[in-house]
Amino acid sequence: MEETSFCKLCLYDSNHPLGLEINDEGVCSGCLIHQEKDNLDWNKRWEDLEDLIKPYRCKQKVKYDCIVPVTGANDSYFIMHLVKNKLKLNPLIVTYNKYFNTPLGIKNLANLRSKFNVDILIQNINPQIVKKVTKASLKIMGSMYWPCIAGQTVFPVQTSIRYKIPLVIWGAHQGTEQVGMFSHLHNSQMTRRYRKDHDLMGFEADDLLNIFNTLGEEDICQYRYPSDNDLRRNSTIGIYLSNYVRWDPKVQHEEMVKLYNYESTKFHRTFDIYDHGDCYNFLNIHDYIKHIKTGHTKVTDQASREIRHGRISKEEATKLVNFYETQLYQYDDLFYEWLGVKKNSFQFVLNQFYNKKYWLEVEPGKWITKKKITVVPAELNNIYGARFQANSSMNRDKPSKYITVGKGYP
Amino acid sequence: MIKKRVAATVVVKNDRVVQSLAFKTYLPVGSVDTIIQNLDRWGVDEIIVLNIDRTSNGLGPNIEIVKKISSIPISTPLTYGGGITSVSDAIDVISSGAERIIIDSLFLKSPSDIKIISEVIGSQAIILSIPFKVIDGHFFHFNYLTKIFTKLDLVNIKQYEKIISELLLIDVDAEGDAGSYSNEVVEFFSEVNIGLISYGGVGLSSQGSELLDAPSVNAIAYGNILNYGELFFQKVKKSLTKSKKKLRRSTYRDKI
Amino acid sequence: MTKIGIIDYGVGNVNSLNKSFKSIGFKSFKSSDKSVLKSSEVLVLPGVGSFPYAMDRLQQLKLDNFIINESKKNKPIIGICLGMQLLTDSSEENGDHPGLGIIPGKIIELGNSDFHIGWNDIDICKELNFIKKFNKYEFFFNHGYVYRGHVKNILSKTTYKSNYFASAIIQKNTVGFQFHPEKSQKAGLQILKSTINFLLKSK
Repeated sequence: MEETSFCKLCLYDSNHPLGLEINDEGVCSGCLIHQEKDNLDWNKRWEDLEDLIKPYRCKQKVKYDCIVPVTGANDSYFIMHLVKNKLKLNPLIVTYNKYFNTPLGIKNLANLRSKFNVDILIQNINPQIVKKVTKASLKIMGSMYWPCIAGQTVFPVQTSIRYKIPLVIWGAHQGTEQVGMFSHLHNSQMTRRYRKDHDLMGFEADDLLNIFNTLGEEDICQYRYPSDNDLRRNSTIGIYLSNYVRWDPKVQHEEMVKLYNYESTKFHRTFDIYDHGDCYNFLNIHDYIKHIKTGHTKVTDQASREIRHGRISKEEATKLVNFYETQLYQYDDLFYEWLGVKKNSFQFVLNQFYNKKYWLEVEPGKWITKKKITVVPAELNNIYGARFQANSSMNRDKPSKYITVGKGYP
Repeated sequence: MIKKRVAATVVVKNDRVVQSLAFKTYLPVGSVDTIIQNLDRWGVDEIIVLNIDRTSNGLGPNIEIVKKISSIPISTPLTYGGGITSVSDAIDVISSGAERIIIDSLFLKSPSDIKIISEVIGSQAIILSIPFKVIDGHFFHFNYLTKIFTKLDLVNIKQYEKIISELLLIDVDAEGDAGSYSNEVVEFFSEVNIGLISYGGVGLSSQGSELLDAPSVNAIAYGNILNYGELFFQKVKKSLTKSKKKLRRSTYRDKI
Repeated sequence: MTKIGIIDYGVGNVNSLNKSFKSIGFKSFKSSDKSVLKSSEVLVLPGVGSFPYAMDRLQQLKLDNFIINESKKNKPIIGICLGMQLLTDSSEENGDHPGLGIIPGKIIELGNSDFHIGWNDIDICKELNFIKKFNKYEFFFNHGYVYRGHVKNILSKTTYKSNYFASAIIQKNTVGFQFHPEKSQKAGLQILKSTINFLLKSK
């Protein structure tokens, strides 16, 4: 039961952090469910979506029909496009300030708000608290991103309760899109369970409280999920557009560039140019940490996605992943400065999280990957360079620095 | 008055929770303790854990997982099945934190052990799992290990009326397809005086209520669907409007 | 902090009970060692199994006499499910077998190959503060044998198929629950807490 099995179609294996099932034909659950994208009647699915949101359309009384969580990147533009232009809903958009903001992310977010002409709520948790919680989550689970994910996934739900807006509209259901956790037809909705299990690595806010003496109620209360009774009273429901729309991020982003001038950037650790440009760390040090803990990287997700959409072969995808996975991360100096730690003490904490299944410690603190890498970099432009052409950059010609949001007087 | 139960089924494969569709297709769901902690908080009437890859891999019951679940901790009745093929297996599972056990292949391979097990852990703790298929109106017993189905022998099952306390009737083909459970199986079992639990594609609202109407049905169980949305257990229970008086009222936790 | 001693005689899930007591703020431990169990302020006798097998196990470990003696010394005792049944005079499960005889009364078959499995409510029969607030609360039952005894020992009764039986029994400072309070969610934990506090006060 310990043996790793591999999907014969994409790059995933049974160790995928979200879990993965591989059937007797060697096809993984992610590829299996992806096949629905080519077989479902998407017109019918759109009708189902219209039926679902119908009761939530406001008459004149209340201003907002729904809440849409956004960032300055990822599917935010496409979600807004569907919500405002196709579904003709009036959303309140919400975003959690992760503090690692790039000029690109801020520009895209400002452009989003203005192009779609909506009200936006931004949550800024006291940075001193965020740093405290970040240090705690690093120690216990080797994660520097726990506060970001916890905030991004809970602020929209808290807002739903506080503003009495039951409907929360998300874009892609990560479990379905990556590993086929649900069929599109299961119409899976947002749950506290999924968040704890797959977003927060098994740790909710109060779990951190119980482990650390240094953290208090005042440090974690903002990350706490509303109670079941609150959710029931408000009839809060979170839906995923990817269950009702044939989800294809590359195609969607290209359309958003055309329609709304969404800006993209090149990355060191992936060929994709559209996702996570709003964060200095997600595709840098955070991706590296994921790699050491799980043997799994974002470029693997994106390459598998492209295989499934029939735009790239498994062989080409493997070469891409082999190349990008070995590229070093950037901008980590900004992170150490922000957190108030030295690089070597950070490395020391990380050292205990290297997964020996994928890494070999050749000397104390120095690890090499057990994976066999054979790639010729020059080939890459032939595979994918032309298909992903960035129109901007993370820094947008400004010096690299976390953009402060909502600080007030400079 | 005793209430009928709406149980939550958790299918475990390779120590992780999966969606099980018609005993054939499996989709990853998540970790056992997070999912069961959630069900406990929702106040389900009973948690049924079906660990489906133990006996087929020559393994005994998953004691680690039973202990793990008990340590969450939970205060909801726990029923465990998977890999129980001996008296000591049964004792181990009960001592580790389950109230009741489910046996399947043991009934087919070594049925004489069942009486011995009942003398130790008590008949109230034993449930016999009967995966079944309906073909042209005839009922067949599905052996999940050999994938062979044989005609359902009620005479044989009747012998266990005092020895086991309930039968878990699993509609193999309907599993994962809410609303397609073969309700007729209840009538088929009418001559057997053992309480029934229906699982595998049990529908919401009227189909579920129809099952609960039958005097011999003590419980209905839902599996995959409970993972599809927030407070889905309470939603499912609420949909069984005709059975409102027969069921425990739902609860919603106020504190975290 | 109050120490609860859970008698671990290999029958029933002591781990669940241990965690339950901790979650309601009591210090608890499980043991089969008489000298360790002696130090408890309240003894708890759990049980999931058949009566004769359980009595046999208690006798093998010499815990039967231990429990009887502790009871004579006024040690508060809580019996849960089969544990409650063991506290009585006898049971007819799989033959006629004597119990610990701490609570007068006997255990008989529910009848008709019947089992009482599921959530059912309790009707409190005594004007005792620690228990009367739980009138009509629902708890989880799982048994095929029931208590038959004198009204003076019956704390609560429960209805089953137009008949009723004792769901909780009492004799001085020994209390027995036929249901599983540790698996009856909020109500179960509350009744455990209330009972322990009551038993400690009445010492």
